[in-house]
Amino acid sequence: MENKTDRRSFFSIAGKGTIGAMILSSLPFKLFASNNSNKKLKKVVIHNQAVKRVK
Amino acid sequence: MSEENKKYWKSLDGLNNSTDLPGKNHKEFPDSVTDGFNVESINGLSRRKFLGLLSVSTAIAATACSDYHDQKEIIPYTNRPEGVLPGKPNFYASTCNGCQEACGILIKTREGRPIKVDGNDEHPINKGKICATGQSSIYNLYDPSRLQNPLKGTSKTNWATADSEIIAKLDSVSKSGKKIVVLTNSINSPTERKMLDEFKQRFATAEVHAFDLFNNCNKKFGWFKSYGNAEIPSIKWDKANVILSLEGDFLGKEGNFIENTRLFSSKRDFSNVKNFNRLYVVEAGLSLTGSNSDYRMRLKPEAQYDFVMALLNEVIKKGASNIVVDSSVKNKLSKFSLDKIAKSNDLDSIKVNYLVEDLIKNKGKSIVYAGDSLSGDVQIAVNLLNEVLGNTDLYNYESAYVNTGKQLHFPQIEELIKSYNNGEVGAVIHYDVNPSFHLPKSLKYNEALKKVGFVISLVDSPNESTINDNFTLPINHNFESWGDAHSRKNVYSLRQPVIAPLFNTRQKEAILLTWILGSPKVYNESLYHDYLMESCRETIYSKKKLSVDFISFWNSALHDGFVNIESDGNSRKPFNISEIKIADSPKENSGFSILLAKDYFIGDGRFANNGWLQEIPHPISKVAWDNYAAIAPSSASEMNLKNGDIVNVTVGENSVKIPVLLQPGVAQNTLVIELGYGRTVISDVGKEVGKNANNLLNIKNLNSRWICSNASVEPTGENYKLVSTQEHHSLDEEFVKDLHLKRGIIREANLDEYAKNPKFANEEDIELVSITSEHGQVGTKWAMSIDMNKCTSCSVCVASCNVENNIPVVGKDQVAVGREMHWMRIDRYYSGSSEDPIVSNQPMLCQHCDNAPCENVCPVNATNHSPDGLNQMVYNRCVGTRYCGNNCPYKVRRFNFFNFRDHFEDGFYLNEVSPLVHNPEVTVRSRGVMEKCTFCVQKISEEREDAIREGRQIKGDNVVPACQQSCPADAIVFGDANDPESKISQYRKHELGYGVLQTLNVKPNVTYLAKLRNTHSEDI
Repeated sequence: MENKTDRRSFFSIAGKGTIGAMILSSLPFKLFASNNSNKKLKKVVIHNQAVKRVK
Repeated sequence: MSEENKKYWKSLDGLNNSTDLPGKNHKEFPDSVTDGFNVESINGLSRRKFLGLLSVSTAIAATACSDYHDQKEIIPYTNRPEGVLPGKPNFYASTCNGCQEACGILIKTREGRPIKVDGNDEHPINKGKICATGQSSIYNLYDPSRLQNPLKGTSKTNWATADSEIIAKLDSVSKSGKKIVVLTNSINSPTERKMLDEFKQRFATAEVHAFDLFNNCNKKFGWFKSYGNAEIPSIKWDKANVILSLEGDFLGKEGNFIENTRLFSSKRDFSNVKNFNRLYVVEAGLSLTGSNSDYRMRLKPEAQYDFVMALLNEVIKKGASNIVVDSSVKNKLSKFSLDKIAKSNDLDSIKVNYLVEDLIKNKGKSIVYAGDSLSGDVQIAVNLLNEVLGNTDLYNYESAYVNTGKQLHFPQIEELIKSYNNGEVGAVIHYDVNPSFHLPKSLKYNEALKKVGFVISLVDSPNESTINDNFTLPINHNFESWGDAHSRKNVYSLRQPVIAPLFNTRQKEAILLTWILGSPKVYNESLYHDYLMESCRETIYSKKKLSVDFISFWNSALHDGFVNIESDGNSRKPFNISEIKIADSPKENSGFSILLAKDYFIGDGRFANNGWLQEIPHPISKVAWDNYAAIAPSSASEMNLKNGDIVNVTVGENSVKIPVLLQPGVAQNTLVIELGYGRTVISDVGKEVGKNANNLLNIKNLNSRWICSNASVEPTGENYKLVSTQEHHSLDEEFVKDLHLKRGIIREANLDEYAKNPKFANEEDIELVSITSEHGQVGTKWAMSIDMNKCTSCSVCVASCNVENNIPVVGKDQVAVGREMHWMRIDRYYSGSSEDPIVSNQPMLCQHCDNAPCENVCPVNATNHSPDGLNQMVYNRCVGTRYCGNNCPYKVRRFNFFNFRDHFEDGFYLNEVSPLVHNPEVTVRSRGVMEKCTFCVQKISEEREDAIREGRQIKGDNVVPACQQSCPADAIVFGDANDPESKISQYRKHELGYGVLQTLNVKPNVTYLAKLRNTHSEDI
């Protein structure tokens, strides 16, 4: 069966695809990602009127 | 034709020398080779260009790609809060509110986050130690199921709306003449009491009632009848040569058992055996105190009254009374014969005689203690017995308990519920209480509550009482709150917040103050703080007449956590013998006796959602994640019951289905059931854990709500799986009776035996010969000793270790298959008969053996020995073969079968607060990794760093592992065995010191000091 894609066009496609993937991966998707609270810890605030023990 | 002339040809054309052949004209390829090949139509991207683009793209991607591991934000601490040094902990003094004892605590924080709670070492009552509940309270702070916002019904609302509606409603209820009922626990805070009084003034129809599921109301009643006041003194346990405890678990759960344990254990010093105390315990169920007794007798709770009266009679008959006893009283006492009572209750007459002899011989230096569950009549009889024996010098009036006021009893509760039903009550405020759970269903509290127009609950998380709420208001955790406590006469304790509220919660006192002041706008974060300061100024500072200003005094008090108060004179009053009426003996009990007891860890059920507390094995039965009805093996065999069989326990009209546990040491025909279980409105951790037996509370018995008689027990034919850790990690496979004694795991003797043969602890050991030369250890060598004379198996060390070392909670199913992760466990052994056994306890942890069998078998050298004697665990080398755990003779290694912090149990721990509980100084272990006790290597490292910085040698005494720090009996000693002046090096050489399974030649570095029982020479 004749191969419709010859060697040069194959590598051409592969190369273009790789370039596209690399560029996409460098885009700041995190800015648009959902806020996964599992990965964030509750912010703790020290009570400013507490008197600490001097050891 | 010759070879030279031979000609080869490929074709006829070649043979004929045709000029059309390729290559004929020195051309490599024929002219047609490029036919159909149009250079112009080829893609403009050449190979060179493609490779060039590829390399540029790779470079861009490498610089732009984000790390998929990155999940956290790194925030530079450039604007560091004052007083916070990253990596260095801060400590804050405060007061525990887990129970009424108000122990002083020291909260350790890292970067503003509380991570560990220990006792306040300067506090005069608990002196640096707290109970397992206090240790684990950090878990409650970071409980994700805490209420995070105010609720109106079931919908979220805001504080302004809630406050304004509530104030308006309370005003209208008050004006209408209907009552406003405030239900609370006993209040030991003078400021809170003052505030509640102001609440009553503000709302004229307001009533404040206190109810605790467990309290000392019987003791207070008895004391009041005996001495005319309710300020019960504490006991100088350290001065008592002989102690008789009647159903009183003073080492496990009654009074300030931390203080009791310290004082009791001080008279169990093996270096001063002549000073040993002798403990007699007479009880129905096997308690922690009973398991530490020298002599123990089983007696049904209803028979305690007769027993005490008979003892009184015996002592007076023998002429040993210290006071003049009226002849009429003597005559009445004469009907109580000790022999008869001993026979009818199957008491060992030898032990009874020993008891009487000892009490008389140690008049003035002994104490008789009645447990809180015993009726007021028994309390009065015991008070009289102490007077007769002259033991009242052991009452510590300076440190007496402050009377926290009246408690509701069941008749009053019934009246209250009636008033709900009659429409006399317009509003009910549940002030951090849960009456719907605590009260028996037969009282129909919830149904009555529906008839009240307005119900508000101030709670930290939803509970059974909040289901009918109009408003449910979330309150701060103890570590987020201001407060004070005055539970003992000589100490006024202060509570300060160490972290701002994690959620949209408020301090419960501040909520009430806002309503008192009548406007939502008055609330601010300092509202209760200012009120507390003012109250402290009036009640404490003004009376002390100090030269410093109030602010300096206040800051100093917060720094210390408490203020010493001089006692206002000796409140000791003479015993009112004329008031004593000899009560009738309780009627014959034909059925079972039921004793309802407090749980050792979860209290009245308020801590049921604390996974650490649920998972710590019961000190006696070693059952985790459940309660049960403890029954004597003989009573069980009469009914053909085995462990886990569900029985229907009926008292009057109330019944409960509960599994039984065959518990050696329980009195015949008695069930002992711990309450606080079976919660239904709670988060997943505590939901439906155990069975709710509150229905069995004895409403009719005015003497004691916790004792029921004539109960029927019917097997249902069902079985329930109770999970006990006792058979896990057994040190041997086959069951052999008294194996722990035969193998030398437990070594004990009585004092006489020890006097005759001081080397009994090691005399049966064989001489060990090593085929290799001894490894000398130069420099620091860490070692530990555990004094079995002092250890009471209270399990505080287990709780402390869990908190310090980030031990995960694994749940009941995993505990059932032996996967609990506790680095420290307390093994409990019985010896003697199954009905009346002798109990021996032994804390077991990694022994950090010099010849560790686990180190040799690790294929990747993940476990090895440090130069200072520690058996180390390198988590990131471990590949999880578990060969080390297989080889460990002590079975102290724990394997992480799951990543308990990740998707275990539907990701229960994946939320924004649970990870805050972790101690940042200790690695959080992942799946597939073995772990075990490290001798708190993080504390050793801290000392090493301090020593390097200060240019000195490491001092062994400066390293205090979590277990040693928390042990209320000071049974654990840790330090440098190579330091000849250290305590540990002396204990290692002591004649009582031995290593468990030391004949295996593993050379354990944990030395156990053999237990000495203070029994008579003919007993063991």
